[in-house]
Amino acid sequence: MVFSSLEFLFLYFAVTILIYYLVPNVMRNFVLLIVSLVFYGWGEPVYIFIMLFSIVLDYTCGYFVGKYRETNKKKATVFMLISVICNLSVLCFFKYYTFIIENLQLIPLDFLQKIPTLSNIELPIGISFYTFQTMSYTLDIYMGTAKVQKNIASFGAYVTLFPQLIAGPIVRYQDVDDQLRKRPHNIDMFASGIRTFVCGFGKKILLANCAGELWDAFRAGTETDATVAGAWLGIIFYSFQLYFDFSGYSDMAIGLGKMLGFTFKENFFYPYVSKSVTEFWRRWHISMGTWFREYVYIPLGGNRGAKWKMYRNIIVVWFLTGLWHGASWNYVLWGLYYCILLLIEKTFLLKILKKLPSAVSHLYTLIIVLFGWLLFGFEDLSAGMTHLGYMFGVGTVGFTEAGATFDLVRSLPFLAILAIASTPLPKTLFYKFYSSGKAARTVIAVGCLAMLVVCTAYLVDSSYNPFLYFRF
Amino acid sequence: MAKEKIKSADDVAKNSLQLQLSKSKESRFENILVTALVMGFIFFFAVAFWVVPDRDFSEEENTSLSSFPEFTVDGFLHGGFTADFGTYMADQFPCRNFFIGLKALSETVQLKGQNNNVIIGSDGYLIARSDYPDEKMLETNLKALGRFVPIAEENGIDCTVAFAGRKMDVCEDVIPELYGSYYSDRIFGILDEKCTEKEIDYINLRDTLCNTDEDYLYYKNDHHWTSLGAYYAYREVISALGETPYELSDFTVETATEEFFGTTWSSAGIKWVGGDTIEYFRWDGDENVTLKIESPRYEYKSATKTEENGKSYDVFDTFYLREMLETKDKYASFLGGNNNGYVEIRMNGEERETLVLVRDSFADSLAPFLARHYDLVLLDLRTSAPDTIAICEEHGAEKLLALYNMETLTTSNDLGKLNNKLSSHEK
Repeated sequence: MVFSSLEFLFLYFAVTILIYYLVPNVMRNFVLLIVSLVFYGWGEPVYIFIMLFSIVLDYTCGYFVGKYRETNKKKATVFMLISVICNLSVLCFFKYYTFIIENLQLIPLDFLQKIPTLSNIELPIGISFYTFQTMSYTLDIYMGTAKVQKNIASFGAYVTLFPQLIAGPIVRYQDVDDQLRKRPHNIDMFASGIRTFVCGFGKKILLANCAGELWDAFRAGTETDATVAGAWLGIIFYSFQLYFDFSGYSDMAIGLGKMLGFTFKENFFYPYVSKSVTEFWRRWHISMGTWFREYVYIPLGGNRGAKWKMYRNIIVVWFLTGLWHGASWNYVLWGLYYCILLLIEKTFLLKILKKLPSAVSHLYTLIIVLFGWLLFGFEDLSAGMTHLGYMFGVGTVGFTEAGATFDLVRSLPFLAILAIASTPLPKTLFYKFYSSGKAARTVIAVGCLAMLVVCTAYLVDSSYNPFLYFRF
Repeated sequence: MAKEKIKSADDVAKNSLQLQLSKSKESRFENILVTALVMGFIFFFAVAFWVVPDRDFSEEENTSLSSFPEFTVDGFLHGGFTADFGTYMADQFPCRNFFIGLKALSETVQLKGQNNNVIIGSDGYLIARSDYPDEKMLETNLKALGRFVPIAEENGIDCTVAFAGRKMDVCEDVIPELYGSYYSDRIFGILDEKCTEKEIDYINLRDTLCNTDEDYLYYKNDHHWTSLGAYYAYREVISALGETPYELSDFTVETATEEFFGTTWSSAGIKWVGGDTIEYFRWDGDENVTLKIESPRYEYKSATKTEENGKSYDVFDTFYLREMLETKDKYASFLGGNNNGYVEIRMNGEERETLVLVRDSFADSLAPFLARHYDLVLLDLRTSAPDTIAICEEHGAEKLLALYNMETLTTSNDLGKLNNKLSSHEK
């Protein structure tokens, strides 16, 4: 199930909140486990078993890792490895099997050609997110940053926790360890959660979906009458779609978390205002960056030791980051693209960027990111290259044509809305307004309702509500 | 202090700021208020969805709505059931029309210039846009027509072909200048090429209508042409058939309704535009008509039912089924609309030549004009697959008119059915 659907809001969420607050506190984790399984199973119930397998596996491994950590490091390591290998195998099988086989088959060896590709296997939704999340449990126990969770229902609730199950943020176990045992449930937190959720809901439905619609329209246009302006605007709208879709989901997750008493960390921090690629990656999908840093980069040695080791570690992290986004070469390239840029910035560019006027470094970052999304958006690399060509007038019918001009002009006001919405300005104004008095806060309360009503209208009229995370 | 925190990149502090503000005691009332409003809204509609009875059909949108999906274990396990349930929920959501209108309003406020692919033109015009219609469908239709015409002519049937434009092809004055006629010119260019290639001579009714000075040739919120638009098409077509057209002054205009909200209006969701006026162009003697619809696809209340040769017919003594003016689809008052497969028009007590019309719904409002010259047999291939040449022979018709608009040509394989049983007539 996805948040941006009528059945989520008016069926699932309504029932879930009701049950959650009707049962006594001790049963709430169990309720969370059950409702989260329903949430997960809504789209493809057959995959619930993978979920249950994950729970049992990591619960058991975590238990033994915790038991032997102090006494028998070897045994603890074995159980940690069992958990990691099993989790990664499940992920590899569902997500990368076909990709690996297809690439192996490029080698002209007979026996390789006979391996079946399971191209009809559907990727279990959110598998990349929750396998990373559950792995963090055994890893945290192993590294001593969290305690063993003895209650399997509470642990199961963590693994399946529906707010961030399918699109993050990737919550590390150590961050919610205490919250799983005891967390506050009160109206202040709930109201704060509602405001965050409604904001995310609006981002997804009013901004991301509409930007996506324009991206599709411009791309469809390029297939027949490619124009330079259309190619640029298309990829710009795609960039906004990705940001608002992703950060909208994160906001909804954080908001829902608050309504259930959890405090999750922010996942996006206005990435499009960044003045360097390095800064961009501190602001974009923070929980994933943190995960790779904590569980891959640092265990590999981080930036300690020889210089070549640090470079190796960075390359490994970015190769994996790319691959994590999808089983296709364009994602790997996309990861390595950033790897190279980050290394360049690390060696010298960052110092120069700091001295440049901020408009220049900002523009530089935006352009880098834009081309990054071009790589990200086209699984078919040659199609991506064709689009790149259009942006520079190769194969186009002109800068803009009669029909495309209409879309160009009519999308400008919306483009301005998107641009402003991706800066911290709206939030700053919100806080100012919020703190200005009772009347303002009352207006905000009514505003939340209005936003929800408008978003509902878009869902009822839903001709366009794509789900971007089917690859994750 | 708060200001500093907002600017800080520390995500944890940022997260707790919203919470801190929320936690201050002064906010208690507003916290209760926002919870009550939002949760109240959600619970209200959650309950209303189940309580309000389901509808089968949306008159406003002119489509049938989905009903509760059938539950099967297999469908459930593979997600089919839940997907269908989502559609069901959107279709049967309470206050559906209100929400659809609200979405259109929201899009308009953001100056997007269109909603659901319908452009908001000047003068209250709503124009469905179609930038890149299905050229393969066009090819399929023309190919079938190209095969049919020579065989029909061999059988002594004189064929006339006419293609009409869509609203976006004709009403240039009300289309945003920037959108212009680029896409229209493009597809009509392709039509022209393909027709030349297949040796199909056709009357371009787009040009005919574009060249008039009139400005109400298409309904503002329906995709059909108005009776005035149909009149100009009639002039062109009837001249091509070798007859002299009647002048506008030879007709008496009767206003049927001023409250017509058509298909474009439905898909646009833009509810704040005024209704269209439907006019009937009456002529002396048109009350002597007999309109026969074979096995109609709609239950007309004003029909007289008869049976002939084992076929059932609804018979009327008018072109205009005023009972349809009480429904949403008021354009259906022309010949009853509804894509009826076989319709016959004769004048009482007169022996006249029969013209067979292979057509889409644009012909519904054109037929009353043509009927001033010919008896008509109208075949709608969307809903039937007759042996067209046999029908011509049965009625002794030596003239056939194929009349289609670009919308049908590019979205529906109607003309393909012209080839039904065609080989039996090959000589």
